[in-house]
Amino acid sequence: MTNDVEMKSETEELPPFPTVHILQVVKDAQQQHGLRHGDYARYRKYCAAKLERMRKALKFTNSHNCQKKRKAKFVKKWLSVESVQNVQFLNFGIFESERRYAEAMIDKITLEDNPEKSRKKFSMINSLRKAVLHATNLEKIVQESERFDAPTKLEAQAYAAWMRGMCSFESRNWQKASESLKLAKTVYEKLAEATNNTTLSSIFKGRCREIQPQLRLCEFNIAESPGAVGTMTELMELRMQMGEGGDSSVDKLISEMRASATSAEVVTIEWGGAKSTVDDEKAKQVVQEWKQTEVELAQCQTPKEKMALFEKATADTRDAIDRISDIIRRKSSENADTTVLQSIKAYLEFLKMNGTASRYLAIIDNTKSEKKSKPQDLLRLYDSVIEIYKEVAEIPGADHDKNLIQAFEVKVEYYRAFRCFYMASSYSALHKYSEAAALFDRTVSRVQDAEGKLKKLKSSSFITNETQSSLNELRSEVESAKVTVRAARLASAAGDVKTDSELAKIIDKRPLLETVNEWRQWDVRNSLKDKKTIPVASLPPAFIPMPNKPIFFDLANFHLTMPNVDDRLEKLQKDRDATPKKAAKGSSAAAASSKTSNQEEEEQQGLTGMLSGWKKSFWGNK
Amino acid sequence: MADASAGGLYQCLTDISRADTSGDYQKALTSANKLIRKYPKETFAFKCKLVAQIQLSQYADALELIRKTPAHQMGHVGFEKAYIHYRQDELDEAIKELNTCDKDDVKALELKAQVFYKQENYQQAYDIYLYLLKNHSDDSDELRRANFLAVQARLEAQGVKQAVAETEDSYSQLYNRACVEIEAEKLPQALESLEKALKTCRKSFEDEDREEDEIEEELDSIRVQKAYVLQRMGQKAEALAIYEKVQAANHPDSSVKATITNNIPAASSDFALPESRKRFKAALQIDQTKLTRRQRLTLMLNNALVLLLSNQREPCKRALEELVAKFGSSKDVALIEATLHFKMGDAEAALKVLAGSDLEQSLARLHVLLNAGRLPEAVGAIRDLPISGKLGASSLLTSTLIAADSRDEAVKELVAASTAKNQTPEALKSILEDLVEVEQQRGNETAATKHLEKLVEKFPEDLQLQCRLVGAYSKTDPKKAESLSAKLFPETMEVDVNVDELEDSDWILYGEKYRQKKEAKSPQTAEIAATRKLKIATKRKRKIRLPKNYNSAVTPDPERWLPRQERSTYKRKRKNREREIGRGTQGSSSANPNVEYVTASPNSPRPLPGPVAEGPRQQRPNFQKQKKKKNASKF
Repeated sequence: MTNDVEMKSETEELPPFPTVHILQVVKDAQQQHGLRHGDYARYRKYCAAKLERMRKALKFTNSHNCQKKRKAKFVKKWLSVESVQNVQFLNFGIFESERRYAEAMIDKITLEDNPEKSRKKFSMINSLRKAVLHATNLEKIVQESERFDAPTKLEAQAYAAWMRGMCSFESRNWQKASESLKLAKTVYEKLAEATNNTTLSSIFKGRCREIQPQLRLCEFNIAESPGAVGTMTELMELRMQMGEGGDSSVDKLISEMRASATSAEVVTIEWGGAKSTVDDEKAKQVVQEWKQTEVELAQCQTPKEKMALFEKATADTRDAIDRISDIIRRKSSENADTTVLQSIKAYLEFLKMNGTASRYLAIIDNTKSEKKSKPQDLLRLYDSVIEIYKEVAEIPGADHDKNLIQAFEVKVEYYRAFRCFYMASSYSALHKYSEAAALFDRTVSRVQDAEGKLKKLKSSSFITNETQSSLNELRSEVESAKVTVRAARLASAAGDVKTDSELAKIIDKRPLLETVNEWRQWDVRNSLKDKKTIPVASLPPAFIPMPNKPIFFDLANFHLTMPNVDDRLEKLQKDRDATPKKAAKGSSAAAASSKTSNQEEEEQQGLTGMLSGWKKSFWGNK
Repeated sequence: MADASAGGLYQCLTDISRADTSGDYQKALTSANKLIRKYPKETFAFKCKLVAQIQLSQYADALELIRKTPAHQMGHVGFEKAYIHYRQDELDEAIKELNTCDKDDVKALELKAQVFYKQENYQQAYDIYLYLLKNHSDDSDELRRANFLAVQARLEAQGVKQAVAETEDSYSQLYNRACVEIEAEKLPQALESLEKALKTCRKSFEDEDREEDEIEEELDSIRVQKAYVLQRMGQKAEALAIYEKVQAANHPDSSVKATITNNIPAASSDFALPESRKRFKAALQIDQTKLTRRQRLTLMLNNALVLLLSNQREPCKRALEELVAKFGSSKDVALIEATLHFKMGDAEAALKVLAGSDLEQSLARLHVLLNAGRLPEAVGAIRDLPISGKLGASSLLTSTLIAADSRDEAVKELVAASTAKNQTPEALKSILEDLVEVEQQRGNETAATKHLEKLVEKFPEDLQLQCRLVGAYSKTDPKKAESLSAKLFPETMEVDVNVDELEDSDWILYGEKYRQKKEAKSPQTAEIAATRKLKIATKRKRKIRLPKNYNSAVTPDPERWLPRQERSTYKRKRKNREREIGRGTQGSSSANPNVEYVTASPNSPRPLPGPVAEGPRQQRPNFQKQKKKKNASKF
């Protein structure tokens, strides 16, 4: 009793573990050890080596003990709640699951490359089951233990659910797969919302994106019965969403749908005047695929979808032709009769050529719908179409069917007319108007030939895309283009007219008052649109020049002179020589000298005025 | 003692008497002061001091001297006092003083004329100068006549017509005569007078041995006036060169500087705005008395314009307010103010300012309405113009109606314009072309075709119009289009164009340089042909040996010497090319072994034809027959 009590108290006092991000551990290992390049073998080796190193380090090794009645037996040491003493013990569960998953992927890839190794399928499923076993065990341990926190529990739950979903998916248990994958996706979405770590959030969201197409495929399979035909565009979308080299179950599903449709029927073709029964499954599927493609073409909206459909059907046809060729070669070595196989091969080649030509026509439609299509781009495509239709007549056995030969001759003539038109348009674009005019005339004659031949073969089953209305449209285009080319040719011959209009633009900034009597091209609408100024008046007004002032002399300065002091000087001279007796006579002499000084002053003033005038004028006293 | 005293007095009197000759008034002033202190009886010394102070520009001291000195010692100094006021720009005081002088005093009349000129009272100045020139003659006649011409120039600027005599001989008279002619808008004569003035000025200054700097300084004044005349005559580049040259020389006269600052923006369209703004600010700081009223007005207007172009709206607004305060409102101020409002996005305020009814403001208002996008009001404004019947206004009205999406009214205007009288062919062609375009935009192809027919009828030589008519006919009347195009293009087919070659060649896919390569091949063919001719010329030594089973009726296979890849029966290349279309890169594995066809077994009831065999080879000669031939020759 005391021992039990002690153990309980020890268990309750154990500290909680830190958070373990299982998906991050998995993704880091995958990125660093091979899966970046899709190398599952290397990844599996890494997981095995890591498990071995960890078991030794943590002393959690498997045993190989002696048992009763047996010499030795391998005993695996399973992970349990009690054995988890450290966070690193969870790696046992994680990497055991990853090792098994890698093995399953290796088997899957082998199965895709070599379909005859069908036993690999069961090996793959068994590996996935073991992975699920380990993942489920991991989840149970994490859920039961109280030392793990909520994020760790959620991650373990999501990981186990994802693994169960993948196992069910590969086992084609669509219902279980759908439920498991939904659960995993939901948990991962919650984890992405709850976490603040951007790295973890992106990892969780990436996993959700991986799950989404598989989930949609499961729902697709659940909703539809195996015999029904789903929407082809939806399946194509799923396939493109999976990406190339991804899950090939979409292709399998498509081929299974077709096989189930064709397995109950007997496919018969008619070629070379003889009917043949198609026994080969591959060839049978291809013939059915072409019939199916005609139905799917009606659903397609854009030329690009048509191109994709034609491309796929043509590739399948090519594979079937290769297969038939192998069979023919094998039977030839056995000296068997290969007439029927030759006929089937010729028919398949016919289908392939038709498909290739139709694909080129879809490309032509796509190019025409673009805004900036050039006539030169269409020339090569029409060349290819014409060449292929010429080769149809050279297929062995084609000459037995006169309708076919005539129909394809009409087709060749039909597309020659279009090619001639676009050749002429190319010359017109290069400003070679005489060649363009000649080619447009040739186009008219070709259109007439094609129309005549087309009327004779109205009831032919081979003529599908070629119509009388297309030729009528082409004729009207040629007529208008012919007139345009002739006008352009005459305009170029008449001389260069653009310089005149360029001259008109140069002088277009004058205000209205200067051109009152002229008719001008104002173009008010474009000026308002481009926010240019319409030059009605000079706003702001022009700068006003101003002249200099005239030269103006200060002539009054010439009249501003010193009083005349010469008489005073003379008087002073006499005072020096005269005796005191003459002082009495001075008064009368002064009166006399004053009269003479006035006259002298006037003379002096004239001289002074002249001299000072020159000085003032040259000094610029204005 | 008396001798020493007499010597001092003599020296002072000598200095005073020489002052007018030498211009050394400072020494005269010193002597006058000495006389006043030592010889109080010499009363003339006071007047000597007054004249000296005036000449030395010491006006305050001179006025103080006049106030202190008693009248009996100074004498009558009304003229001198008036002169002091004149130099101090106190023109009213100067007139008062001059009225106290004798009416017939020449000095007083001369100064009065100068005062009137400065007061811009040019008519009275004109009368006085006319009286003086008739009744008085002295050595200053030449300069007085120059002043008379200056007065005439100012009167001409005020609108009073002047008759100028043809007796000028000095550069100053020629210069002032040019000023008169400028104001009378006789620019070619003014230019001629200025050229003469330049020559005369240089000649007269060189005769007096003046320094080169002084000569250049005086010549620059005349050059600036010449640049102004060139600018008015439309030769702005030459005017701008002269302005920049004189500006670099840094003329000392601030009036000439202001003229250059003002005229450079008017002469060039890409002047430096910040520098110009600084110069205008400096020009406005010039003493206002050195510039005429009209010069100040022009400077302020152009300053406001420079501020407007610099996008300095508030300083421009203040400059305009100052303008209105000083000179009153005018048309130019209204235009600048309207432009300012329009630039600030306020079209309404701009329209308020342009409320006048004269043609210029009407056009400015229309300018604002159009550029603000108010098209209906603009249409009304165009129709209200006095020139609304002219072609220019009609074209603007039409374009405005088109922009306002009133194409019907635009068509009416165009039809009215096309049917007006006295049309020049160019205008009529433009009108009809616009009419065609508007009708085509309206979708009325028939009317457009009719107008095009009118155009072709009136301008039959224009080939472009006929091409357009062909295009229009192709939409409305294909038969006429065919007949007209047949008329324009008599030769339907080009003889030199090989249509088959054009259709089969694909050089157009690769561009022009590949075409040159193909064209370069043809001369090689000629060389090969020449080589073959040379080979044929050689003679054979023996006749050609033919196999014995050779049948000349059957032609041999023409492709027998070609490589297999170049033969027409070779198809593998095309098949391989098609296989690559759906495949990936060239490294991808392709499981397509070559198929070997086996002939059908004889038991097959439906034999299929096998692939076409290769061309037949030339059969080899039979060796046994040759042996027989040899045996026969032995015998």
